[in-house]
Amino acid sequence: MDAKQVHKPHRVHKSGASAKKSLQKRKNAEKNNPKAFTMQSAQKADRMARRRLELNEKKYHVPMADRTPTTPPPLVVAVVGPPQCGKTTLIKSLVRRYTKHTLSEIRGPVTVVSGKHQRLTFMECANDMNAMVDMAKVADLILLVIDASFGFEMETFEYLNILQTHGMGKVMGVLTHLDNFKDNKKLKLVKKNFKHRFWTENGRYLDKETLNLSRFISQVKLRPLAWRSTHPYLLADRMQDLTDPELLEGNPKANRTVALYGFLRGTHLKGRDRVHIPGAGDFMLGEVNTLPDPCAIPDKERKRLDERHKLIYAPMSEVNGVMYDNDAVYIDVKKPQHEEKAEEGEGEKMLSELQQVGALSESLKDQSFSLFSGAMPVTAESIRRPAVFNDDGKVDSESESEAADNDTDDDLLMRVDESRDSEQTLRAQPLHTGVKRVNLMDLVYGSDSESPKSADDDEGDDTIKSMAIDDDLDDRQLRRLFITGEDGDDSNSDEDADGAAGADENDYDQDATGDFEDLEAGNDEDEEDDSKENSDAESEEGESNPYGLSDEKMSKLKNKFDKIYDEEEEEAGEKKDFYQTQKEQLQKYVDNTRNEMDELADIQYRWAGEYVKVVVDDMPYEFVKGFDPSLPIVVGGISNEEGLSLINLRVKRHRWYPKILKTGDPIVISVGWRRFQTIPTYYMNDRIKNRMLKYTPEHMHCSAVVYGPYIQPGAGFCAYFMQRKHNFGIAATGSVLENMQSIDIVKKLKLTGYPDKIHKNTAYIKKMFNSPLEVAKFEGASIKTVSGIRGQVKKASGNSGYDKVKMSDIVFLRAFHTIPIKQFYNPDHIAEIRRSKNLAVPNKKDSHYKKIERVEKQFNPLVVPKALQAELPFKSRPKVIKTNKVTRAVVANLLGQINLLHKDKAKKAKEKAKKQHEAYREKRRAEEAEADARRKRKRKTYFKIESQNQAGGKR
Amino acid sequence: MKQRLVFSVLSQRPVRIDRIRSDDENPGLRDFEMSLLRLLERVTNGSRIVVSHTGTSVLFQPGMIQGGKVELECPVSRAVGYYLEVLVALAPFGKEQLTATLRGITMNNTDLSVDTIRTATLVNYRHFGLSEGVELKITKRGAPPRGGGEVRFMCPVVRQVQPLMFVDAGRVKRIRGIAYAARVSPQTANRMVESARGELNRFIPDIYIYTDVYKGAESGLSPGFGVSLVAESTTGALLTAELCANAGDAPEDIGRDAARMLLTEICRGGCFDASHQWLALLLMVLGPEHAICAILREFFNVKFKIKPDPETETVLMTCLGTGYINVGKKTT
Repeated sequence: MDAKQVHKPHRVHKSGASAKKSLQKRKNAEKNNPKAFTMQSAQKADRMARRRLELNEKKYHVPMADRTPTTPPPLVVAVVGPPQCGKTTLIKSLVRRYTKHTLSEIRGPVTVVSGKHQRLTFMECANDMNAMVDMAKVADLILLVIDASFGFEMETFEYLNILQTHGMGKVMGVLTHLDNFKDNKKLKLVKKNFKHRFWTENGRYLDKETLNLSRFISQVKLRPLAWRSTHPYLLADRMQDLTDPELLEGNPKANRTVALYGFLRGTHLKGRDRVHIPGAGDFMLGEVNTLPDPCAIPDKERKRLDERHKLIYAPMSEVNGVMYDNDAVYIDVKKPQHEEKAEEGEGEKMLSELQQVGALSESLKDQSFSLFSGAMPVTAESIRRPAVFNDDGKVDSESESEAADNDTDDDLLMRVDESRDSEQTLRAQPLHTGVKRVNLMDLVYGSDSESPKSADDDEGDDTIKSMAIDDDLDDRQLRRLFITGEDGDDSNSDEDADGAAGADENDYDQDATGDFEDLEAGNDEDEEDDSKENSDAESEEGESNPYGLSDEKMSKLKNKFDKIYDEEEEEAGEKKDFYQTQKEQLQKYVDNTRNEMDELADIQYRWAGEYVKVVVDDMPYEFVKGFDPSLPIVVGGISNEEGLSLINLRVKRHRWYPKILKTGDPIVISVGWRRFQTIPTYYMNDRIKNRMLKYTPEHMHCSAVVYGPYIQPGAGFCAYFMQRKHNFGIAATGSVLENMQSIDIVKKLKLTGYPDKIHKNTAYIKKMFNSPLEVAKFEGASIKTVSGIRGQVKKASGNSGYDKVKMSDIVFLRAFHTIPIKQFYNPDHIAEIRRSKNLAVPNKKDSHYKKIERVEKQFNPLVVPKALQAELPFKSRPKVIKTNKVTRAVVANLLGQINLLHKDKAKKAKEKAKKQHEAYREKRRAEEAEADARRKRKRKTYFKIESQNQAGGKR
Repeated sequence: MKQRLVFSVLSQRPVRIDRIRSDDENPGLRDFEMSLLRLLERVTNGSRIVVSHTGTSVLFQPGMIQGGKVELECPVSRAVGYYLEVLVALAPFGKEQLTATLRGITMNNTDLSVDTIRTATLVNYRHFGLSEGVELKITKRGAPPRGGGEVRFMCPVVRQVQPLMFVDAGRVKRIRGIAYAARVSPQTANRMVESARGELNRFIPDIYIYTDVYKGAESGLSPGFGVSLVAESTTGALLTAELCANAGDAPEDIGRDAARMLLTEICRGGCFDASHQWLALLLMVLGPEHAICAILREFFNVKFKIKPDPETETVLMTCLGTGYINVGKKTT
């Protein structure tokens, strides 16, 4: 049985459908390979060209401003994958590749200098939904680690879906565990299969493969994401608890003051920023300091990176030679050759821990922070002073709470004193009139720029109209401000002196130059520069006129030049398409901003790319207690995304989520920086109303309303349940449509009732309403019966329909009831509370499913009258059969009997009709006879009178 | 108070205003302030206004700007311009297009007249990318003291305003204006135009002042006249001046004084005149993160770089916008 079994080949069809199909195949060759046949017809070539253009057009993205600072913050490289797939090993091997350091364990972000211009922050993503979501929001580059020997796992797809909703970073797939494949062919096949789903695929932990991966990473090109480039954020790589230890002695669960360190990304921080820390809440940043860059790119231009510039910064992981002082971080890379880190003994570990504690108290010493705004900054020394405390050494709780109250108030509420009469007019004084040099910034913001409340003086803003008339205006100066006036500083005084001649000349000037001036006014900054140039040229001319030409000639020459210049520019402008002009415009704005940056230096913003330390007050103690360096801490700045409102979402249940979602089930929504639990109400708009859905549709989009903080419309979101219930975690995805304060979502309300009394078109319905008040609410509502008769609710005593209602009908009132939206933000899932407290689900009797019992309809037996029975043939006659036990009436030939009954009935009816007709004819006949008699009588009297009249006339 | 309420609505932060004329003989809010609060309540959705018993303190919790159709009877103590300025700042950031009908006095000497708003304020919008669909229609004139005017203001909504880079004020290239008269002799308007032209013609010949005479039902309840002038520069800067007649004023005086006011304004220079500076600065703050006032900082946490420019004797104000995005606007 070694020989392969050979089957008989299928017969090739010579006629019929399949033969035709094979012929068709040859015909379709053109369709399948259109390029080969392009040049056969001009029309086709045209079509191809158009298609190509369309494809090219599709490649365009909306131009976005690239606001990456000159020294960009390190790229965040998130290493994501299911457990046991080699994420840590990958980071370790990459770190080793970049810095020749071997980390024993990875805790928190690891920043390395990877090149002359590039730094990377590696962060391993824990397999927790919240961590995955937070990581997706900050990661620039994602390495999806896939265990090739196992295949795709759900985490990978979950992560891809999270990324999609939060702005897709660059994703690279990394296959690991390829050494498990013994067969090279199979390896190839597996690689090919994976490749099918990803753009890039990469190797193992071998040096060569790691090198390859690092090359891929260095080549990566990022597209700015709208959300991230407009919000400041940082991925904290170090956390420090700055709380006063004595405060904690009294109350170990007191709110903490926490310092977070990290590279500032996105945009700038302004100071006193509002931020959101996912998992902790909204805070106002206290103090923001720029620290020296712990992982700086070498400042000088070098050919290649020196060993001592290959820095590594991983404050939460243990790296050799990293030392903390108060705020400075010293990095000592003494032995770059030293690769293997010796196992730490127990004693050494203890020592290093002790050192860390020392560093913390050291850092406290020079730290100054304010307990409440407006209070004196408290330093570590000042805390020990008795002035702050009561005699017994405890904090004065009353004053503290008061101060805290004030503090929170100040946060949320702006207070304004309108003590001065606001009706006074603000005379807009020209600010430049003062001769002495006043720093205007100080004037406006107060000399202490750190206290914003000092700028609270009133300006009587109600009236801003200026009514000043400056009577002694400098005529010459004023004239210079008009296009008709002369330009240079040294102007001819002659022209001013003689009125009419001067005016004439002005007119001439205006005519000559008006042409191009108008053009400038219509266009944008391009021309602004141009006009500047013009004015420069003009001023030059006025000052010296180096060519020795007469003014008139000069102006003519200038006009000529301008005309040519303008035309050239117009031509150049025509060549640029819309896309390019838009792009250039954006770039111009960005460049301008960058130029202004230096000017803005004294505003004391923190710019993106700086390494900053932010201090957050009032941090819940759980944040410090549950601190886990493997989970990312994201500090995301929020601008006008604070107030709570109803958010309208477009939702689609994820196709891999096994269940549909129910209205009212608390769900976690991750959008913007935030992830919050809220109660969704699903609904769909059917053009007339928003109708509530109890469950989301299975494969369709629907809308949902949740209560939560403002979020800019268009933002993507993903939703998941707090407790993972299924293999695939993401329950739904979608986007934010709008924020609003109210919405009408209705659900169907069906009231049923039964007829009580029926008149002709009016019926009294019972059991529909419970009180006359209810009826009053529904007056005029349309109702309907099962049999299709329509009507209207009239009064508390009854209603009317268009037709007579039968007693057996059921009357329905179909109405729509607006449901209130549950305004809960971060509620608890009731089922989860029950589970945690071990409580049973309440057993409501009314909610039980009961068997529906229907009463069988009883019909009366068929009774055939005796007289009829006699007429029936024997076989159709009902018979009484006597059996042994029971005497039973046998209904024989039922149909015959029914027919007979029907015939009999019809006969009777006919007879009755005949009788009625007879009676009617009798009646008619009598009436006719009477009418005849009446007519006869009438005629008789008429003629009698007539004859008498004639007889009288003759006489 | 007006600006604070506007900033409060835009920044969505509640505001409490205390000690309103507490030392005054007639303490508390005035009728026009009350109707301003009423207007804000109508324009927004979900606002809460608590006025204290004495009227000297107001707590305002802003809701979202809704837009839509709004009507307001403005008390005669202030002109319609007082309310329009608020609407001009808020309307672009609403949920739907605003169509506001305001009735009352259309011009007086304390507030911007509707003509100036139409010809300058709304035109200034275009620097920030707002030009289509902005309309102010003056259906009836209403002069003080009894008013009776009516204007309709329409403004579309935007997602975000465009950044502004406006450094060069340019030089004045033309002057336009409107001389209006209601319930007085039509000749009044012409007399104002004559005198204003006489004053301005020395500087520039390109002057055109429209006469706008209202009669009958369109002319409101009281007689009045005035002139509004706008100087446009080569770079598109608009400088305005306006004057409205009091009882007994001669039209010639009004025209001449308005022209002189305009010259004063031109002499001060700048890209925005005194009455439009606050709006320009506000829109700059709300703009995206590239562009060029103390009170704004409280609400939006933005600081301006203020640099006096000795050459043109103006002040250059630079700021990085907050990237304010209209959260109320619906996307599809």
